[in-house]
Amino acid sequence: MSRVELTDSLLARVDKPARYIGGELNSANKTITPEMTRIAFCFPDVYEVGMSHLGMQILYHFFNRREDVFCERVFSPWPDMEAQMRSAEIPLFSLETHTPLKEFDFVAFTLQYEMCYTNVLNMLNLSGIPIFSKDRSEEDPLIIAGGCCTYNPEPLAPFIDIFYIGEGEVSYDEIFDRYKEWKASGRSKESFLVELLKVPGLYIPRFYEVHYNEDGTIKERITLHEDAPQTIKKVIVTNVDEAFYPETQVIPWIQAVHDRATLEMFRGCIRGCRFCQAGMIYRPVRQKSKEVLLEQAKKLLASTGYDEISLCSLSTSDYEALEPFTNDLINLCNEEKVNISLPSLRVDAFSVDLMQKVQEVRKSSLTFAPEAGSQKQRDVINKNISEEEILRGCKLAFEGGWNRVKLYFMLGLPYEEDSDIEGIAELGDKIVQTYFGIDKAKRAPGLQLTISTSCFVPKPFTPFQWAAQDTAESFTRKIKLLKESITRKQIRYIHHDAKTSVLEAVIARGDQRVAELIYRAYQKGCTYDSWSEYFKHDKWVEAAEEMGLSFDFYAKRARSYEEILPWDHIDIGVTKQFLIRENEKAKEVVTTPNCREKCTGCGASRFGKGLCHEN
Amino acid sequence: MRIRVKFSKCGNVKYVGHLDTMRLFQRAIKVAQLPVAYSQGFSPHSLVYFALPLAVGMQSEGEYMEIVMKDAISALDVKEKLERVMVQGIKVLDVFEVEEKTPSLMSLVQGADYKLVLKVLEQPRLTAATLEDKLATSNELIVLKKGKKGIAPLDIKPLVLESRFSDREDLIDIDLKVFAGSSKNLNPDLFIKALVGESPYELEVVRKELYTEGKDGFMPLYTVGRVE
Repeated sequence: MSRVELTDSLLARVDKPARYIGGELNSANKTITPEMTRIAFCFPDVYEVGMSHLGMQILYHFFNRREDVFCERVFSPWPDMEAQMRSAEIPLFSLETHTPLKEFDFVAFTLQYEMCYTNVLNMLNLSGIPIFSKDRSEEDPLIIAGGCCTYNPEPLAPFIDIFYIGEGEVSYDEIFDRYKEWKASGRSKESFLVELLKVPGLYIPRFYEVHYNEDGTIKERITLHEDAPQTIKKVIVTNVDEAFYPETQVIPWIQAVHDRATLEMFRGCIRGCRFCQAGMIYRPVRQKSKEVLLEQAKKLLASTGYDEISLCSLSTSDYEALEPFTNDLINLCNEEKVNISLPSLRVDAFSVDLMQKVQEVRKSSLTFAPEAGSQKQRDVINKNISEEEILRGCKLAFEGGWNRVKLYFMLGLPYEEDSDIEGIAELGDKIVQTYFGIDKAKRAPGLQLTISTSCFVPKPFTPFQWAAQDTAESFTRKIKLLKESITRKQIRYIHHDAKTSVLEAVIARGDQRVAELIYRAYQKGCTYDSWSEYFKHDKWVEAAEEMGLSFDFYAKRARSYEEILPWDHIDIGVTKQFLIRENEKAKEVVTTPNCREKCTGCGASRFGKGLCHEN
Repeated sequence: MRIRVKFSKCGNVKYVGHLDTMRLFQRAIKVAQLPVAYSQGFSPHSLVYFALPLAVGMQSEGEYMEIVMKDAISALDVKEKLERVMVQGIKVLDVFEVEEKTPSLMSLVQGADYKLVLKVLEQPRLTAATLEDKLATSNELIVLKKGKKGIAPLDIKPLVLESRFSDREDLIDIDLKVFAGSSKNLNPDLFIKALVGESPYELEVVRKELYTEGKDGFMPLYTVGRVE
């Protein structure tokens, strides 16, 4: 085993060298034996971003609970460090033991957003591992990928050996057990991959082939091995109370984006917003019991010393036993001098009341996501919240002493008209009026209302997966329209870059030909595309032109229900019929009740557990 | 009760900056379940104080911090509990209680010892003797220092208390005692810049000890206010 040595003179030349040293509080340290299965867990972004990611913290401790497995962390080096590493010919290494990635059994990537894909290629390249699966030898590690982006694995299919579709707690033990046996047997890598075809939730692209029609759409997908399943069903934890949850977290050396204890309250979301991928792919809703949560919170706080705990879920205020749970948690946290943060709240009175309780003294800003400005548009996307509820929530917040409110919206949603965009400004105006309607003595001075818009990106496995995305020009016009509609000086308007969102749409709904686009863009020097200072739009355009790939085909083109979609071989439990039904209801501006009100038969009940079976 | 901890910070952990090191200790103290006291007010924070910030990349064998405890605890107990949770590279060297009226660590610091290893990359190499000579014969040694108000010239000569230079193969070892703290402070990096000028060099610095000026000269901080 070799160890990468980083000299002082090298580290002295890079920003934040603590990103690269390892050895943090609560990180794993094991004696390496030849029998040990070694896995490099890679987050394809910089240290402070990756260290904030809950999934990595869960799986890191989940893997390391096994004595015969050693999981180490790897992050994408920042460009200054990459330059130093390349000039000194230092391969990418793990933080725990500074071992080159090439020496690992598995190199695992978590894919959380499409714009990190060039970083994946770069990390393989920096490791001296061939980027394409087909070019790798028996000696190279197996490349495995998981995370929410793997629900459409196709844009990375040529680079990844194994995609893991679903929640990591389910199948990894079986993978490791089989790997140990296989390693001892001395058989070929191919034979191991064939064996993995029997493991639930795994998509192994080399056993499939895609054929295209002349118009560029998919003609068929054929399996190349008799054991390769036609569709790959996602795997999920059925009993979240009994599922593994780490008792500790690795404490980053330098302040991470989210530097706090994280308590996962439930998986899935009852809401069913029609643009939201997470709301569909993580179904069904599975909640942890209050007792389990409190026990986990205690352990996390005791082992990390954090002074903040974040309640994590897709919509925290939808937790069923929220009130008794937060009361107990507040008691615990007051004793320990710990703050509670609530990142995903709805704009209703209930949430404001909760915020009030949790943050008795420190009034940070309130962030809500109405997503659309007009009632019609909110009904189209099934964001079941009325203007009255939003205004009542804001009024309570202002009366409670908040004066900074941030609202998130999307532009370019399906069936959007200019009046819906103007509706955002009107809603902002009404919120400002609400503020001024409160007695001066009762409100905090100096209202700051921030309106932030992102550009809608249609995502696989949502009712809008067939929808056309706006063009960059149309987004720009809409941004201008909204900017001009906002007249209040109390309102600050910020917006996302349209070009990034168009590219994100190309990749999100991409097929295997988009993989070549990613490869070519990477060859032209694209990495860190989610960082605006490094995003090189012209290089992506150049790459697309060279290979004759049209962004419009992937982003702007509306699909028919009959078309074979690149991700049709992945089965998330929610049926296509349900998604079609929802899209049709969007057209008619009809909302759908949430899972707690009424089951709408999405298909996720077939997992046999969760909210679907509680009522 | 006030407990002081002397610790070392060596190896890669030297790349963890001052603020991050403070955060690390605040967390470690909670994990170690020490009975730390908290400030009053809207956002209570644990009462943990450091003597003098240590620059990123600099090692130390003489760092000090103070923890205010709300309940009594023995120094030995603190040492054992902290050692159990500490990361590699940080070692607890000494733990002791100080008298209630002892001045704060920050206000005590007036001097520091550093051990420097200098490698001048340019030929012909400078020697210990040339550096020693330059320091002894110059009336003043001006170097440009970046401060809050921009770049200003600074004469470092009066800030040097003691210095010893010796050659070791192609390296020069320097033992340095300088003024340190909030009123008069000399960063060892500036000291070398003043002596070496524009020549490229590599420098390794270890802080060895912190001092306060008493009636018998400079006294190391572990002797100040100590309750045995």
